[in-house]
This record gives sequence, C-alpha cells and structure tokens, in this order.
Amino acid sequence: MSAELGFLSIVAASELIRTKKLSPVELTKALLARIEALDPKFNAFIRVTPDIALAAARVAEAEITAGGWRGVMHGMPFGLKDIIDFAGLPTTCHSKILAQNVAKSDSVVTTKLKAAGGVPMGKLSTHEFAIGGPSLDLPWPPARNPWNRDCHPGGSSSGSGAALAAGLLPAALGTDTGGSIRNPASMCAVVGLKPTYGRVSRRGVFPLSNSLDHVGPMTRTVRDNALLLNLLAGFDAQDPGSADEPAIDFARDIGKGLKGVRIGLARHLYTDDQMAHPEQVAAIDVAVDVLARLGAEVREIRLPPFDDYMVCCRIILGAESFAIHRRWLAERPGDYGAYGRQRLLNGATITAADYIDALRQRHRLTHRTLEAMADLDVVLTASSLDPTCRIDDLEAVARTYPRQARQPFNVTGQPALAMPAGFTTDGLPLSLQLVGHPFDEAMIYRVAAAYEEATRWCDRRPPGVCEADV
Amino acid sequence: MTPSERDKTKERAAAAGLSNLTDAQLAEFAAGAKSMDALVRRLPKDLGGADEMALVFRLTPRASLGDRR
Repeated sequence: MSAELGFLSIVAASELIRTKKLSPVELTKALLARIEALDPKFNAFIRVTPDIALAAARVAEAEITAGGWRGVMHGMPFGLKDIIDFAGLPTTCHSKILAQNVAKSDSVVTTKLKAAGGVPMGKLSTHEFAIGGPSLDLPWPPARNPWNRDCHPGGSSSGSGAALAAGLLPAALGTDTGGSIRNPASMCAVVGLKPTYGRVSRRGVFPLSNSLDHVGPMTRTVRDNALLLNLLAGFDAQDPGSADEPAIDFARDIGKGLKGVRIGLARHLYTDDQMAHPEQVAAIDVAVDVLARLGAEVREIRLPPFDDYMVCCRIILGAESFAIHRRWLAERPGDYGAYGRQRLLNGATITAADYIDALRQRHRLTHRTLEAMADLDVVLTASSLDPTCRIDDLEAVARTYPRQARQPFNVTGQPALAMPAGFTTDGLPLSLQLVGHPFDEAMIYRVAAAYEEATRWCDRRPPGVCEADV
Repeated sequence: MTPSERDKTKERAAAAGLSNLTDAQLAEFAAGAKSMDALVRRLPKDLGGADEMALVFRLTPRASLGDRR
C-alpha cells in the first residue's frame, strides 16, 4: 500500500481525496513512513516537518468532509526546495552561512500552496545557494539519485527530483537559474518546468541571479505539472521581474493531439555545438519519430550556437550572484563549501561594462531565438547531454555538469520543460527538453502530454523503492 | 602560484573587496578570474547604440508598489 500511495499522481490522489475514498491524513502518514524508511538512502530532505504536515492534513480532511474541497492541491503533500521561505522554518540554502536563518514570512508560492490546502512535508536538499554542488563538505549530505544511489540526482533542485523519483512526494517546487529544475528532472526521470521568466513570483525565494531566476513545478507527470503551475502562476507587483499576464488553465490543451503542431528540432545544440552521449541522441531520434507519428510536423532548425548563450549566461549569473554574496565571501569565505565558493568567486572580476555587454547580448540572442522559431509551436532539443554519473567521481561530475542545452532558455526567458525520454542500457534516465514561446506553457504541456501518453516512461520506478523494499 | 602571481591575485581580490581569502581560496579566485576573463573575451563587442535597450529602467505605478515602501 505504501508504494501505491507513494506513486499516486496529483490527479489520481486528488480525485480519491475529493470523492472521500482517500483521507489526506492517511496519504500524509503513508508518505511520512516512506520518507522515514527511504530518505536515509537518498537525502532528499534537509528537514521533514511531520507535525506541520499532519496538522495541515487534518484541517484539509475536516474541510473536505464538510464539503469544502478547494481543488487539486487540497490535502496534497508537497515539498519546497530549501531556498524557498516557509514562515517559522529555517531557509538554509543548504549552507552553513544560513544554517540558523529562520524565515519570518512565507514566500508567495508557499502562501499559494497553503491557501490551496496543500500539506507541507518539509524542506528539500539543494546545491549550496542553488549553485555549489553536488558537494560533500556541507552541513547536510547531498541528495542521491533513486535510480542509482551512487549517482548524483542533478541539481540544484536535487532533493525535489530525488523525492519525486523515490515516491516520497507527488509535488515539489524547484528553482532554475541555469537549468536547476530541468537538470534533476532529467537525471531522476521526472517532469520539471521552468516557466516563462516572470510567470511565477520569486518573492521569498533566496536569489541566485535575479534576472535569470525562475521558480517552477516538479512532478512525475505532465498533467500534474500543469495543474501545479495553475496554482503558482500569477502577477506579483512586488517582484520586479513579474509579468502582468492573465492566468490561464495550463492544462487546457492536453489531449488535443498533435495534428498540425509544428516542432523545430534544435539538433545542433546536442550533436554539433556539443556531442551528446550516443544513447541520449538515439532517445531524441526515437522521440522525433513518436511525435511525427502522433501527427506533429517536425523539422530541423538552427538557433544561435550554444556557446553564445553559455558565455552570456555565465557572465550575467556570475556578476549578479557575486553581488548577492560579496559580503559573506569577504567576511566568511570559509563557511561556504569549496564548490559553492569557487562558483561564486567566479563573478568577482567581472566589470560593470562586461555585465552590460552581456545584457545587451542577451537581447540579441533572445531576438534571434524567437525569430528562428517564429513559425513553430515548440522547439525540441536535449536537456542533459549525458546520463548521471557517480557522485564521488569529481572529474566526471565536473566534465558532465556543464554539458547541457538548458542555459539558452534562461538567457531568453522562454518556458522550457524537461521530461523522461527513456533509459540507458544501465537503467539510468534519459531526457528531452521542449521549449515554447514566451507565456505559451500550455503548448509545451500539450506536446509533452502527448509524448508521455505514447511512451509511458513515467510508469517506470527506480529499483528498491516499491513496497517490498520499504 | 609564484610569489608575484600571488601578489597580483591578492591585489585583484582586494579590489573586489576580498581581503580575507586564504592561499587556497586565493587559488580558487585566480582560477575563477582566469576562466571568467576567457568568457568575457568571447562576448561580442560590436553591439550598436540601439542595443542599449537592454538597460531600460521601468517604473511601476505607485498603487502597485504595495507594502514595499
């Protein structure tokens, strides 16, 4: 029973809860038991909050019993990457620097999840300050990959990806500055969306790089992801990056099929500009066939070279993150983990003129990218170029982490989703990435859901996480 | 690092406000600076005046500032 509840989708669990066939308290207790049994292997959580979770589940249960069902997240467990504020709990950013930093108020996304009746299960592992990891020299151990616990789960929303893959949560929030939602989604075979820049408020989320930061949903299925985004999206006048765009039902086009949908394949990002692992290339080739069979028109396109985006992204990210961390780097450099400190120090020598040049280049790249996909609905490309590797193989981690095709869409701010696209012969997740026009997340979900339905990679479970093993 | 490289690195770190780095941290700083210098050299420098659009500053109406003031 525990595994069955652990791997329920939001859609399935919410229907059972709405029809009173499943009690939020029962679901919460089952997941807490799974966390207790499995999380020592995966370190997905920095802090589990059973008292808060059970209290919220009991309130939800009473409200639903009284006929006050509020929507799909009512009574639904969720986890927050530990750079997202939850009033009264520490937001540590997985760092000694903020180990005692208790949040005074909720982030906007936490407020929305609470208002929807969600059940907060705890704070999830991240790379230090969403940049330094995977690291073995921090106050908490790094999350491990449920598909092979010797391997890293991607990052920086590492605990979010691991918790979903292990069936510890049906919903988690991540953040994405250079790919940090889509990387763990790719490594853990779950679904992660970086929404359009400005779609989801970042207020109450510790910044890494303000002009590149995004908050987004992570789930095991595409429809779950769209439903979670429905809740998170919305204008926030107090987030200067927030976009005053109307809220829509992001799941509205799921099930409409792919007939006439135009997909651009940005193959050069993973075969010319960089060469992906052969099994990753093959997985996307197969995905192209699947999408074409479903009625989509797929044609190859060329975006600007990957390096142009990468240079731009790293300079902006370096300058903005150094500005945020400058005081601590000056006063407490030894309190960072080595990897986080190295990454943050990278920005120390960027001049104001370099930063401004990178911002100007960002506009040019965005214009060229949108021009290249003017007559397309979405772009298909790789997310990660390699499968995950051993977490303790520092050379392999350093070599493979930068090999990705995610950064371009932090630069352009477009919505981008990573999802499973099969498995290597060793049983490790492979992935693909779908990129949409600004504020057209609904089209991404339409294509992703059709592909998911045709392949059902989302039904596979990591070894050792089902009932017999718990 | 040679002593002269170390002095130069220390000077550069101090200019960035980082005067408390240990030798190991200075080496990290030097490696980061080298890699970032290489990236900066790859940024296009031929952008025209119209590309200053990137620096537009935008105000919001007073009513939308909420409790930020």
